[in-house]
Amino acid sequence: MCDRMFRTGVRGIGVAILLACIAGTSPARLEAQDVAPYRARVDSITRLWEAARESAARADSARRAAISVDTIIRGALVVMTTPQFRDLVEAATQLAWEQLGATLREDTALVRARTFYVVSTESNDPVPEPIRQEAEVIAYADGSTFEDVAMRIGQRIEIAAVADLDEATSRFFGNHVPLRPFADREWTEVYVELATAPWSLLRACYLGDLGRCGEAFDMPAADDPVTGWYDAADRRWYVEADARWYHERDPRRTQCMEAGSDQACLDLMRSLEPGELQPPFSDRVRRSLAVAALELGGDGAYGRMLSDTSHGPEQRLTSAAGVSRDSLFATWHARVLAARPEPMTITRVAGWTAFFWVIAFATLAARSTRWRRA
Amino acid sequence: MAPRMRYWAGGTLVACALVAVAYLPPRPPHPPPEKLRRAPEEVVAQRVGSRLATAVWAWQALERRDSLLEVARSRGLLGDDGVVLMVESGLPPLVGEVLEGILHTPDSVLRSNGTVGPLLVAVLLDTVRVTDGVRSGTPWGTRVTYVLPQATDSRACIAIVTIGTSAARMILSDQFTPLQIRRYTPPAQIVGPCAYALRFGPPGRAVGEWLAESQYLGAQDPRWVTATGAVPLTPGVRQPESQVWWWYGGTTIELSGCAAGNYESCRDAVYGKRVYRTDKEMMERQAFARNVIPPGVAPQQRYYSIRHPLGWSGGMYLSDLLGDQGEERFARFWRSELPLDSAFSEAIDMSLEEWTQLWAQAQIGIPEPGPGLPLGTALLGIVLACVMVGGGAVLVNRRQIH
Repeated sequence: MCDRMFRTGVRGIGVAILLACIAGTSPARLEAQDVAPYRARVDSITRLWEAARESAARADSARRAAISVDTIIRGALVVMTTPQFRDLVEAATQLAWEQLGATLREDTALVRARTFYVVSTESNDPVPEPIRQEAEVIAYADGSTFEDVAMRIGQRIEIAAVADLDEATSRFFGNHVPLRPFADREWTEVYVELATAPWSLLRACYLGDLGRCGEAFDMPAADDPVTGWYDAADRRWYVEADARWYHERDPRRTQCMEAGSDQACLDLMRSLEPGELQPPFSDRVRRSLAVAALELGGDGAYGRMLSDTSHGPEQRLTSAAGVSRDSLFATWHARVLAARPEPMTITRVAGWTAFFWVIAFATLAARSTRWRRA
Repeated sequence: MAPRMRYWAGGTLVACALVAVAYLPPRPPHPPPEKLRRAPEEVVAQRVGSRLATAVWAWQALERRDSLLEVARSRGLLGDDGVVLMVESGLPPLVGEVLEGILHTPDSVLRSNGTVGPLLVAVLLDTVRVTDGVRSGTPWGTRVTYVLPQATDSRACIAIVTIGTSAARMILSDQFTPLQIRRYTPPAQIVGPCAYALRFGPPGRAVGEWLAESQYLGAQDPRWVTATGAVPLTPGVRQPESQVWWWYGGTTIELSGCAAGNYESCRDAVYGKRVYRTDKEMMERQAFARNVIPPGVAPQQRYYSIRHPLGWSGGMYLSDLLGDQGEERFARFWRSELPLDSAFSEAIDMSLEEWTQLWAQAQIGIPEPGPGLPLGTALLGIVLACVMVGGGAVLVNRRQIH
């Protein structure tokens, strides 16, 4: 009977009927330890499930036929949406493709074709199942601009591009290949990280020691990252900052943090699994090196980066940049220092203006009210 | 009251009522974002699928139990005491070597405590899969299935460790390091409720029913079989593990109330009675699971999937009781035929609520019930209010025109 109900198209009351049907398959808890009744119950629920899936597929087909979908194609980007969001999505797709073109230039042909279905979170139309299977769904919040949507599309492309690289390089980029130019704000964030990081390696890099910059980028790869990236003071700070990841009852944690035993810090950090030890530079800073390399390399830079078969970011980035490793670091370093944020200063005029208004309001406040009479 | 004043007062009351209607609970839940919104038919199919997964898991637990008992019987392993490791032949030897290493301590602890009966730890590849949207036949987050002696030959306990497809792929391609295998499932959770069943025998009727009702949550993490062991609770001092409560979504209302001294909340926490229930589907799914799971069979409950009011550390409840009260008292409680609260009071010199409060405080600290306004802020508010009222009174008096 339950199978028939699903086949005849149960909608709103489907859940209630479903539960009744399933309850019917197990009228009482099976006390016996015989396997057969449990197998029979699985068969029974499987039939219900297949009927429910058929019903869902039929409903989806009907819904899909009722929804019209527009498709926008820019280069390798195929973006689908409903007509009501077409203008915004078209502008976003155009911008996303232009941003990719600004970095990749003639290498945009190397971008893998992707299909997206872009829809507002406010939309009441469910995503048709075939589109869900064919395209990546990007749901944007109400109030988003086309720049926001373009950024979401670009991010998906950058994540997908990881498949073209070896594992070490993908990890270096934080599984997110930078294919769009960095905005000034992003370069400023890189500067702030370089200038304020607590690690000695980064302080030396900030001051212009390009060899130390290379070590911070793990180029060449350190034999022992724990000692290659961090000195004794760094190691203690690292353990303190990440203390919650270590077991409180681990005596090495106390010895490292409270007694200052470097050996305990070393043991603790070396007990981390490969990949768990955080490198001194964040993913964003490492990506900024790739952005600098692609900018420096000009036409064909991305193609050179992909075609380099060496396993690791160093060779790929120098191939892309078309210069030596030291030149790449020097260019990157200069680019980062040039993004130094403007310090906030109070001008003389602003200071006097503020002083004037303080005095003016204080004078007004001190005056007698018009209600008072002598 | 002047007519004009009446209008103002009436308008204010109407505005207050509107604000109350708009903002006071109960409020309707926010609809899910579009990408998560499903057609009713899809929702139905998904819900049937989740129930099917549970039913498949229950059936598979019994099938696997039978085949494992058969193998153990044919090899004469059922007469052993302590841990007997059985690894599926398709898995690399490394898996067996690592598990043998990490189960060494639980084995020693169980043997030194006079365990009766074997604990068959079987490591199997999880090959049971249902297609399209329904995960494998294993409930979400479960890596170990426990089959207690009451569902076997009354002597052996079985812990079936299933390795899912993605993990299996990594293991078979030698991408798993020994450390990762060690972290896959902690040894205490591999042993789970079997440790209690083998060391203390079958529980009393009420204790057994209480455990079955919560799918053996309280016995899932017997820390006493590890090298660290179970330690007594210190009143008002949080256990080291308690710092990670926030990882798993914080505390529960019941446990907070209990730690603050509300004994009714302590009872709710232990008996699994949720004060508020918003996810109807989840409650129905759990009720279905209780109905479907065979007696004496329990799934491992991973920290993040626990919905019981004892919270994510609920698996350590009985382990902490054992560590705090000692073996003799715990055994009296475990085997008692009295109702749960009476069994507690009779075996331990504290009531169920008192000890649970102590345990809750060891998990989440001692909450400070009452309004959350700091004393300084309240005093400042009162002083400012006095100043304003006083200032207003002075101003009004000065507005007299003579």
